[in-house]
This record gives sequence, C-alpha cells and structure tokens, in this order.
Amino acid sequence: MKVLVVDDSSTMRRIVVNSLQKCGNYSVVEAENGEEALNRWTPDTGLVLTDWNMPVMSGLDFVKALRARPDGASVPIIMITTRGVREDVLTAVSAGVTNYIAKPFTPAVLKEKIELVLSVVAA
Amino acid sequence: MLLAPTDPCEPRTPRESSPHASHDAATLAQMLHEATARLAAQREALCGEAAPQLRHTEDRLRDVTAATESAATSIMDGVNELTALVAQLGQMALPAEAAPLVERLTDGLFDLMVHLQFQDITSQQLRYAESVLRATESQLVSMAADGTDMVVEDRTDCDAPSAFDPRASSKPMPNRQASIDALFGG
Repeated sequence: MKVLVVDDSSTMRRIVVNSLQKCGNYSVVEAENGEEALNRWTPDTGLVLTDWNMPVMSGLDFVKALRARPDGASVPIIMITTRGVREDVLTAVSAGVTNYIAKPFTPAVLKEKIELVLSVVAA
Repeated sequence: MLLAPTDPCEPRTPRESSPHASHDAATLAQMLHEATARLAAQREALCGEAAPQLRHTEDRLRDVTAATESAATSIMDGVNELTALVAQLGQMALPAEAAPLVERLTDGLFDLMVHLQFQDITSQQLRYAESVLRATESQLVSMAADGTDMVVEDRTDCDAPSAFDPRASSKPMPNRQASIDALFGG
C-alpha cells in the first residue's frame, strides 16, 4: 500500500517511515508541506499521515484541499501533531481527518490507528 | 487668607507675566530639553544595543535548531546502520540464547530513534521563541523610530505562524491520547 507521509521535520518523517516499515509492508512517498503533498498525491495512495504545523501550506489546509478533490475524498487521513487540545482535534475532524495522533507518539499508537482506519476502509 | 477666584479671560497683570513667569518658562524649556536628550539617548540604546541583541539571540536560537536537527539526523543514520548490522547478526548461526539479545538490541535501537521526536518538538518551541523576539524587536524599533525619519524594516512576516505550534510541549501527558481517542468514540 502507498502511504503519503507529510511533515516539515526530516527527523519526524524518518521516525514515521521507520515505524511504518516495522508494522507493515508500505511504499512511502514523503512531502515537506501541504503544497508538496498535493503535488505528490496520486489516487492510488491508500493512507495519508500528515503533520499540522508546516510552512508554505499547513496540514489543515492540505486536508481541506485533498478532501475537495474527488479522488481524495475518501482516503484515510491521520493527523500527527503536537496540537492536542480538544478544539484542535475538532477543527481537524471538521476539515476531514479520519483519526488523530498527538506528538510525541509511540509506534504502538501509530500501528493501532493505522489498523483502525484501514479496517474501516476495508469494511 | 482667602483668594478670590481668577477669571481666565481676564488680562494677566504685569505681576503674573514677569519675572516669575519667565523663570518658569525657562525651567520648563530646560526640562523639555533634558527630556528630549534622554529620549534621544534611550532611542540610541534601543536601536544600537537592545534591538541588535534581540536579533543576535534570535540567530543563536536558529543555530540551536539547526544543530539539533543535524545531530538528530546523524543519530538517526547511526541507528539505521546499527539496526542493519544487528539484523545481519540475527541471520548468522548464533547460539539459541543470542536470539532474545538480538531482539532486545533491535527494539532498543528502535526506541532510541523514536525518542528523537524531541527534536521536532523543541524546534517548534524555539521557532515560537524566535517569533516572539522578532515581534519584540520590531515593536522596539518602531517605538524608537516614532516621530523620526528612521526607516524601519518589517520582519514580522519572516516566519509564518503556521510553521510552529506555540503550545508544543515535550512534557509527558499520559492522558492526552486517551482524551483524543474519546472524541473519536474510542
């Protein structure tokens, strides 16, 4: 499955990519911000993991833009961010995220959320 | 002794306009002169010392961000290389009791890498501090330039606020993910 990982921190991207490799067989495409992610988006992407706070285009704007496209309307999106207050989560849900992980996260939480959102897609 | 109230429209008597009045005017002029000189000195201190110090501190914070990112990348490279070596070790014909040790090594290296998340969080905290310093510097320079023909450089838009979370924190918040999950019905 193709996974799009969006984060402006190269450290975070590597942590997420290594965690993905540990929990399944994923083909990863990386992007540094929302704009780059939209350019790298392909309809065969099965999962999106995105940060919120990024320069150029934030994760929130990226999610809105992706959800506005017919080919991005149903892909599972997990927001992985330092923003963890209730209002932030509700804002992200309104924008179209499928699930939400607070940083710093544990690989177990990442695995659990990935399995959860993919099981809903499969059902 | 009671004094009759004075009518402000009444012409001033010669006794009121001289020599006390001229002395008062001279004192006032001297005070204004001294205040203007103090303001000029403060303006000089703001533009010549405080603002450059703020900018210098901002640069130092940026250096710290770059240094931690570089160090995190090096550590990550090292961890990846060691993980690959441990995997090679696991493929070798080792005594049975070595297998759990290889597994512990692999897991330990992975945990080390996961702890490097601190770098992303601290860099957001530093970017927030940089933005506060930049705004403070901008306000100081604007204040100093007020009423002068000094040209003020606007640096407030150098870093988009969307690039960092002002509330980013590395503090352990054990219930935070559970609270988020509750919003998703979990």
